[in-house]
Amino acid sequence: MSLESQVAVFVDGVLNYFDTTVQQSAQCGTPHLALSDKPEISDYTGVIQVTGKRTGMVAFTAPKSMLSVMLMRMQETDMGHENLCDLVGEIANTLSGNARRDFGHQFQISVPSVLSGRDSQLEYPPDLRPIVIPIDWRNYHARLIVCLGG
Amino acid sequence: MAQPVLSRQLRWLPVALALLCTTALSLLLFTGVQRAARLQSASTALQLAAGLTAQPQLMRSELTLIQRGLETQTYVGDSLRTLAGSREASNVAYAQLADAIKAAGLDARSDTLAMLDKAQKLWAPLDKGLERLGNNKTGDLYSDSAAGSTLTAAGARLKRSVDELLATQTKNTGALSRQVSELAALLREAVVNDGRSLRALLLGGSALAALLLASMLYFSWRAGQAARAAGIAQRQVAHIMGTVREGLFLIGRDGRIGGAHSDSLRGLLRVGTPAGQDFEQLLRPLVDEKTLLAAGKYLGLLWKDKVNEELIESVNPLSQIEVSFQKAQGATEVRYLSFSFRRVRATASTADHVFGVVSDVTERVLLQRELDSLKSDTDSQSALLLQVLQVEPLQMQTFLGTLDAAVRRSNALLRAPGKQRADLQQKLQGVFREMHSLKGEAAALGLGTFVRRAHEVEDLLSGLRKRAELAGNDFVPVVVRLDELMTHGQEMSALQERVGQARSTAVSANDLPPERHGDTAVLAGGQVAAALARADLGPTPGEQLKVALQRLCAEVSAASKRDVRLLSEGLEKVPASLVPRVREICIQMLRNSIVHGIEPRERRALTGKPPVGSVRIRFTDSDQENYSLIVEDDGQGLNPEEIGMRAVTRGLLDATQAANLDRSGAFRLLFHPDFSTADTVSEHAGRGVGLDVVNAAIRDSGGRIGISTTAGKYTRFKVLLPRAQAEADSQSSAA
Repeated sequence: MSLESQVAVFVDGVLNYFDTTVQQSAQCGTPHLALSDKPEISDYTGVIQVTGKRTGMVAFTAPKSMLSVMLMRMQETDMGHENLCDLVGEIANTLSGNARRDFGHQFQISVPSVLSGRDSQLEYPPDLRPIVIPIDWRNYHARLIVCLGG
Repeated sequence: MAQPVLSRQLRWLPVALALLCTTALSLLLFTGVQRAARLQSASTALQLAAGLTAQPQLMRSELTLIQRGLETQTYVGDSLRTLAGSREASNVAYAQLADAIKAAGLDARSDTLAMLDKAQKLWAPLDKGLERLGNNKTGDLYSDSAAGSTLTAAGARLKRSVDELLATQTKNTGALSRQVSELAALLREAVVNDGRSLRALLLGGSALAALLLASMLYFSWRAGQAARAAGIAQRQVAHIMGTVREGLFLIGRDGRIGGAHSDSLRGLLRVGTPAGQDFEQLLRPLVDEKTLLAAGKYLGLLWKDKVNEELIESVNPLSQIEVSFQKAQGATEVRYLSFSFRRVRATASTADHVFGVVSDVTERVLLQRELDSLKSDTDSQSALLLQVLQVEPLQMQTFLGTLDAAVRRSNALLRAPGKQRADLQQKLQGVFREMHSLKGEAAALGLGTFVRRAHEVEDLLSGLRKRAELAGNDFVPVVVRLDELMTHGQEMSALQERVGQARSTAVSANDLPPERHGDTAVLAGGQVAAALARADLGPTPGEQLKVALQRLCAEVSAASKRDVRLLSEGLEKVPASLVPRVREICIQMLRNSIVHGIEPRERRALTGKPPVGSVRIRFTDSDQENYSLIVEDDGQGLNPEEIGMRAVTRGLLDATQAANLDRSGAFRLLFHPDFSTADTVSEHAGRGVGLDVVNAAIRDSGGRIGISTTAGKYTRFKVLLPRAQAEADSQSSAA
């Protein structure tokens, strides 16, 4: 499976999550490479690590305000830190599930981990340029960061 | 699996047999009914004849009784009445007997009629005698006196008549009885024969009915078996159609898909109900107009029975096509489908349907690409080394800088906000221009691996440009290729560094006396590397540009199958700061001149031109305000009408606009991003971006361009680049 197909699996996974769980579509902006600086991290970030035929990480990072509105749409009343972490973790978990389903046994996908805070540090594989895919929902802006090599 | 299904010929057998048996039975029944009627008539005749047999004797007995009664003067009234009754009954019986014989069909037998006739003839005198006897009976027959009873006159007349009748007819009645007995025997025989024949008919009918019943039961059993087998086969076909991954379908002569098709066809074509739909209409949203047209022609050929389908299979335009499906979020999913078609013949000579099979070969195509990429990566390692050795280090450094800048500019375009179609088209066009320019730079240096990669990005962008709908995630493959391009540049840079280190080592080694390292191979390698190292100090940027353009000319000429000579003048005078700009302009214009301007050798010979075409590039710095760059070829020149027509086919103008197009308007079209006069896309032309890149470079430099041309003779582009802008750029880059 080519890298572009694998990136597409993650993009589709996020967009499907909005369609089915949040029940309001999100739009994908034009993807670009993080060339000079590391990609900007938002308030909450769900991360999965990929090993096997390719090695790297995939992260979904979104601002607190966006996640709170998503929780509201999902009939959730508690907008606390725990629930926001759970939501971003669930999105990462969905990506993990999609990757397991579509990539097959040549890839090992980790259990999702959640980072909170804009100063969180994501560990990128050396010598790889992350691909940043803007995910826009209502007036909020999240990002999908895919950094896979091998 | 052998199916107990009746063949086409045998299918008519039960019907034919049933018809035959029914006809035979009807005939038998009809004959039977006729025979029964005849038998009934013959029986009636027999009964009548049997009844008549005894009548003459009875009549004679009654006559004798009357004779004796008259003699003894006793009462004879009863006998007279009985006799009259017998006579009347006999007359009726004879009449009925004649009718019954006719009805029984026995009148055809001459002996029967002869016997009847004879009997009637024998009966006639007796009948007459009896009639007279009846007429004589008037008044009392006896008169009583003291002497006793005596016959009256009437009695005497009666007695005479009776006596006379007995005397004349005694012999006759015997003959009559025998005659009627013989007739009765004949009738009995007829009855027996008719009965026998009727029995035979009944037996035959019963046998036929039994045969009919048995055959019906047999064929019904066979039909049941066939229906069961057909049911099983139908279920098996349904299982196959429901399970098979390929889309199986039939196309009728009307171009529509048949009712029976595999379930997966819906998923493969993303159509809810393919049955009954026009196949070409189904294809229309999936493929471009050209492929659709070719597919229509190909299917048309399949319907022509004389065309060998094995031979035309290789030109199937749908054997592998890229199709785009719209997804929920406006994104597009690209799949690769493979169609194959076979004729289905209803008769030996005429095609009834075309059987189509479509399968999703996306994984196979992508895997093949991956394999090709792996192979080309392996190839590119050696190609990389060759390129490093061929290109001057400084030029290579400059190119790698250009590459880095082009990818960064492309990335910045993608990163910029904007998701509307116009924004995405603008981004697409910008990245396209960057890649086209980069490709030209790479080609000028002979860097084939970079040319190929930049061309691949152009391919992707071309595909996106044709789409009706665009979404952000359609650009994922573009970003991945940009990343690969950058990685390739880094690999080249690392290799150049290692080669540079090898050169330094070689130069040091070459300074040592030769006897210190007697290995000739090392010496030879060292000399080459040293020569390369010394070359680093040589050419100026302008001279390097000259060399690069010569190399580009050779490469594009070879690829375009043209014979072209490049004559350059004054390029060494190009200020260093202006070299990248001039190079960018020259590369695109030189490629345009070779691909679009210079004619093939044969055509040049026909028009009396020298066989080898020439492109002249002249740079002058004599003017105080502007640098001047002239690119001129002695090719076919520009034809405004042809440009107008091409603009119509490209959708840039309509027919009216093209008709009203003036010369300068036509030349302005040459700089439109979507305009190209090349019919096919190659690494060197056909995208329509070359002069767009030139235009952008001139615009950025604050310059202007002019065109002069004569059809069939030459085309000259004159570019003026302001000195002030060039110096300002030079200062800003130095700062």
